[in-house]
Amino acid sequence: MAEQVGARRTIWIGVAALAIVALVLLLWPGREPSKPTSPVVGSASTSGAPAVATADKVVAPTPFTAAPDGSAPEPPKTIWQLRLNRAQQTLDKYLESTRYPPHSRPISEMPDLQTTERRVEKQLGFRKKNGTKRGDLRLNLTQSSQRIIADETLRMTIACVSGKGIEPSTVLSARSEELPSRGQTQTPIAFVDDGSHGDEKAGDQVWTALFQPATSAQFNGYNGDVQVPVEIRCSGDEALTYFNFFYTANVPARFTGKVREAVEKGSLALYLELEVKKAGWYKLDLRVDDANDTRLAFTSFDAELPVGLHEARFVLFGKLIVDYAAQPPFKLRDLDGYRFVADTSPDREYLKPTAGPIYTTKTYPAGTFSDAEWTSEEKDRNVAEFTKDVKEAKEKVADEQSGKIPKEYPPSSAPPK
Amino acid sequence: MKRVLAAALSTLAAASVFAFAPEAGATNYSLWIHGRNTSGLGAQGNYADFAYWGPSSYSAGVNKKSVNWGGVDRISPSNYRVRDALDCFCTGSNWCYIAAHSAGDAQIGYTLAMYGGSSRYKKNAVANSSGVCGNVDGTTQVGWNIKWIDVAAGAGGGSELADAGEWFVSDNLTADLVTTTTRALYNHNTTRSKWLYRFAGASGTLYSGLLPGQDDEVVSYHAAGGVSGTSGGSFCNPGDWFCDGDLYTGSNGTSSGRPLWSYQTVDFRDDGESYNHYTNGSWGGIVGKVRADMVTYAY
Repeated sequence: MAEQVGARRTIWIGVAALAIVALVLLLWPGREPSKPTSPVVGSASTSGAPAVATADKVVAPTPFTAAPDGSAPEPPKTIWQLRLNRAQQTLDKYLESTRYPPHSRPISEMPDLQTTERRVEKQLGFRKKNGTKRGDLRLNLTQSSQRIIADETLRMTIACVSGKGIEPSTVLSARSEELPSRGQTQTPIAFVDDGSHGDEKAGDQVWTALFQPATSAQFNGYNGDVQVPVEIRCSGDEALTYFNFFYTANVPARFTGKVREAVEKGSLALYLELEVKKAGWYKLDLRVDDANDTRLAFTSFDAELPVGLHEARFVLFGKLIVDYAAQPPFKLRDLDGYRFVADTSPDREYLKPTAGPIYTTKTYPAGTFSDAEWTSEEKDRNVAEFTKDVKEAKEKVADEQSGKIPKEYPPSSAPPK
Repeated sequence: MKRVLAAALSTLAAASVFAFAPEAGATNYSLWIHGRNTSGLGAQGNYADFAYWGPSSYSAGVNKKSVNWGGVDRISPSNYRVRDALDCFCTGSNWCYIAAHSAGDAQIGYTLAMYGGSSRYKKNAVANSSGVCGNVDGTTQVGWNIKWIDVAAGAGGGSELADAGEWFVSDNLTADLVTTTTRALYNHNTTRSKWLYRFAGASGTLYSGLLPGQDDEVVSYHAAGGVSGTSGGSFCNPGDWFCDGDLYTGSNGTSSGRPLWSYQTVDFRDDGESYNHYTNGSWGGIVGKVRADMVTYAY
């Protein structure tokens, strides 16, 4: 990271020099500034009344412009040609996506939810306590997770960085505060740089803190957002920055470890047993790999559960198995989720994630699973509407081409003056 | 006096809407979901009040409706306003195009992820003074009838202005706009297979010390472009050497390999650094680009 910042500084100097040359060329006499094109909305009328956009559709085609590579310019598209493109795209993409149901998706669709890990790394500006900024400094923050549940411990690090690399710094204070009742109760948090308490290397100016909310009376029974304001001195100035995470002290349910499976309607149903302590609406996610450890599916449970021992049903959709040539036995892993409480804040109580392997299914002979696409009233309704839109747009384009209706072009959307 | 007059006009406008509102039958609507709104523009539940956006006389897609959800409370407790609007105009035989600005991105994303598969009563598109419409026949459907979503300066990935405490004193919504919080608030990849067309502005300068990469003075490209991950990042226009990577147009993510959330596409990237975040009471900034898009495609 230090090398990266140092290299950037060198680049800055070079670019500054180039910028000066460019500025001189730009201001050289005889060079006209480029003219902005007309904005979408008309200018104020002579009566002084607010301008009204009456020209959102223009009948005259926008002028052809030469392509940058000198090839023949493309003719502008009419509004109906554009609408046809989007309607066709909407239909095609919807059909492609809805081969599988919403609750059993290819895991490739979940780039940031491949596992239960929620590690955070971010680089923030150096904001002084009086609100002014130091543009030459940044604060690098990491935290082991965005959510802390029950007895889990959060690890946080902070370092001050300039163009030269990591700068000497001192953490002046840190404390935990509930949101939104900030400041009513606080627990001091110690950041160290002495190689202890989770700190990787003494004296490297990367300050570390371990914080276990469950050990603080402040968070007894707490559920909600927590922020950790940190005051840090660096290069002669003091900055105030924040770590943020969500803490659930008491989990509403737990996975007992019991799983059963059944082939149902050409798909593999997976029943995971939960001990539910609080009844409610549960939203849970489970990942599935195939026998070759190829990541395959992201399956979801989204339903009410009463108190007691109950099974949450996940589905590994048959066509997903077939299309991806996934080999059984399937490996279930990384279960997480929460009890969802609609229309309130906080809107959830997290379960403790089960990271890593959970269960391996039986093997199944070829042909066990169906390659039939997902069907539902919802899908039929959407496909019918999108198909109608494509048909209508095609007819309009044909009417334009035959001269039956005039060709209309979209408005310019040049930036405002 | 001005406030009394405004209230009277607002009431009159609302009354006129209810008096002449019956828009039944198979109809398409354009729903505009606003962002953070500390000025309190737009009466909640009044779908004709476009005070947040600009003059209501402007074209902004077929049968435009303003979804006024407040803009200061946290996403979850204020989300019912969005669901009320979707129930009103996007069920039964009616269909919707959605446009969202800033925190409106988080609102529609949250709605689709949390409630997209829920059972909804089919409504008649005639709203009462609270913005709730009557049932058509007591039957239900799964989810809403949405064609696609346009997003101007989306804050579904949060804003470092919330991270840094720039907004702390003013409203509860800020707590949800912390980058790590917004990104954990809902599964951004779950849109019920509906696409989000993203429009990202880049004319920001005021907060360049706080907002990483290209920004529009409130959100950075990582949020406006729908870049996935637990936190933001520094993404820019091509040719800028001081970022983690370029934000690509389309659905290809960034040059550094960070993908977008699924069902997102960057329809407009502000290479000219011309568009900021603010509507300025006149459909301004990057909202102007989305308005033009809605005029073209929402018919």
